[in-house]
Amino acid sequence: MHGYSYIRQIQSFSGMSVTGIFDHDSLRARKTSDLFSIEAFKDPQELIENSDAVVVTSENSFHKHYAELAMNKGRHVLCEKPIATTEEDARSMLQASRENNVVFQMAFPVRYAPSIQQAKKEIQSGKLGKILSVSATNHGRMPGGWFVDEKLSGGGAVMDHTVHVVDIIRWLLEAEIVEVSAEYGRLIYDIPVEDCGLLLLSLSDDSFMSLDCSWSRPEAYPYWGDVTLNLVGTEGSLRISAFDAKLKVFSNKRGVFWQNFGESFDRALVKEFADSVMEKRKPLTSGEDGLEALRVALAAYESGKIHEPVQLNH
Amino acid sequence: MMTNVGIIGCGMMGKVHSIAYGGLQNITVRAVASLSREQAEECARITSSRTSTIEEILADDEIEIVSICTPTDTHRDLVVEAARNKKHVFCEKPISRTLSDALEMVEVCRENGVLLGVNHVVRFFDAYTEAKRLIEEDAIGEVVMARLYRGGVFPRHGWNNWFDEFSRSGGVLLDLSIHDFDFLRTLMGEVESITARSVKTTPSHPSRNRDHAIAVLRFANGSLAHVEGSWAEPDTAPSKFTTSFEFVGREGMITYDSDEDFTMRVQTVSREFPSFSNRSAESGRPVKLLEVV
Repeated sequence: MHGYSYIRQIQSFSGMSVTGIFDHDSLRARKTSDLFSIEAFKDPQELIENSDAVVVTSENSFHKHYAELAMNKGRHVLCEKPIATTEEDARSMLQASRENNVVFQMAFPVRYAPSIQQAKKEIQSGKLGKILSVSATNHGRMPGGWFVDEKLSGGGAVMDHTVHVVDIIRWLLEAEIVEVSAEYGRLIYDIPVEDCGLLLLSLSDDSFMSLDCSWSRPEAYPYWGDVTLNLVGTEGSLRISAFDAKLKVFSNKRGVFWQNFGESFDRALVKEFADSVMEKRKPLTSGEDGLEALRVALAAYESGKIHEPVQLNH
Repeated sequence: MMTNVGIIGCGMMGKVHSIAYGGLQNITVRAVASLSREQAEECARITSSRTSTIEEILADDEIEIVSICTPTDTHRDLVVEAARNKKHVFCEKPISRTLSDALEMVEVCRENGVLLGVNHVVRFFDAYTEAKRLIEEDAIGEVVMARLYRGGVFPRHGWNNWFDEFSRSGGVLLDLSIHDFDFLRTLMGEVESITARSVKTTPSHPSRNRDHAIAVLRFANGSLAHVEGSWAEPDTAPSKFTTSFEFVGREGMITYDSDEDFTMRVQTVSREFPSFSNRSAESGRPVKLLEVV
């Protein structure tokens, strides 16, 4: 799903090119190969050996397999979110990246959004005082496909949409999530995983946060979804709607839709990956960040099962 | 036939009731009472009535209905007393500060054969009634998820700043978010469980006049709701008060944001920025109670 965007962004930089692609689904591989006129490799090992770095955008449960294949060959890895579907897999990937001394970056594009970068500055300036409360949303449409197959995705809306916002907030507030309560369910669609979820989180700085991670935008909605934040501080408040740079289009031919004209977050994400590799440094969104975000999503599932808050140790 | 009303409490809501009764046929406000002489005189002027005392209003046989517009923690005593004096009661929300008070009020009104109406005004606001009507017409299928916001700057109009006293107002969840809890019940039925967080002060940032809360509700039918209430925006915020909602159905969604529904807005060199949105509920509210009376 995000693979196309990364290919376009990589190709747009003069110092980078796409060696090729691999997909265990040969139909998907051929389609992408034709679209971008790039080679589809039959063997992931061969692709890895011919590349300096690897972008893993497979189904979530295969992230570990492909990331470690690349890392163990000394290749740097940019990994789609969530990092993995189990904490064990994530820790194994981190171990592999350290042992092989490679850059391991998470694809958390929203952290590179201009609005989020500016919010960080506003918070650091102190003008909002201490942040007390965050209410956040990461709404989307129901994606279908392997996203609703728990074996491949690790879960539904909670797994898909918890990690982006948790990552942003950990970075903005420089705090960890210490307690997770969650309510979720299969409320809208007849699919095998949950499509709606509401999380209530306690942070290590005594603030609290809610997150609506639902696939609740209907087909009729004019856009895919949103990332919004309402931060309330002792001295003021800050609101973000990260994808709100939009035109409202009313077309007899194409219907009603919103056209985003904001800067691509993926571009800054890919540039950070390249810069981290060149400068041999830790990227802004690291594998460790991926692990912490995943732990919150997994704690949310646990909380939903036992109907109790779940503590997270740090 | 004229029905006589007495208004107890002449703060912001007492004034709202005074104006609203003026727009009704066959209704006369006979007397108003308030701890504030100035505010009582203002309501008496609006209603062309007279200032009085609580005792006089409750003892007045000509008065059939009493509006209770005082701070929340005083509702129980006033409503119970009014009911014993055989007055129908139109009580400001929230009904009371505690659940036991509310149960007692309902019971005493029942025993005395008088009506007790609680002014859950949002049920009568156009955007909300229209959304509910569309949902009842099945425009978006069964509603399974809701998200409501209500908030802005801290209410400064309370007598002795009673909104800031948790023991009197119950804070932003009880005083403000109760509108959304009430409306959700009319739409999604009874609440089964609720998880919530709120903050007034923090050890490192003690402060008066701040209150912010988030609640996650699960209803008996399995649907979910997120309710956020705020009295934490800075006093200088351009938008002093905002409400928004989002109702997600299995076949669509309805959203509303009060910051986007202005039908008139003025900007001048003065620091006053009058605006107008098409809300007309004020005169509609007491009518329901009166129709029943």
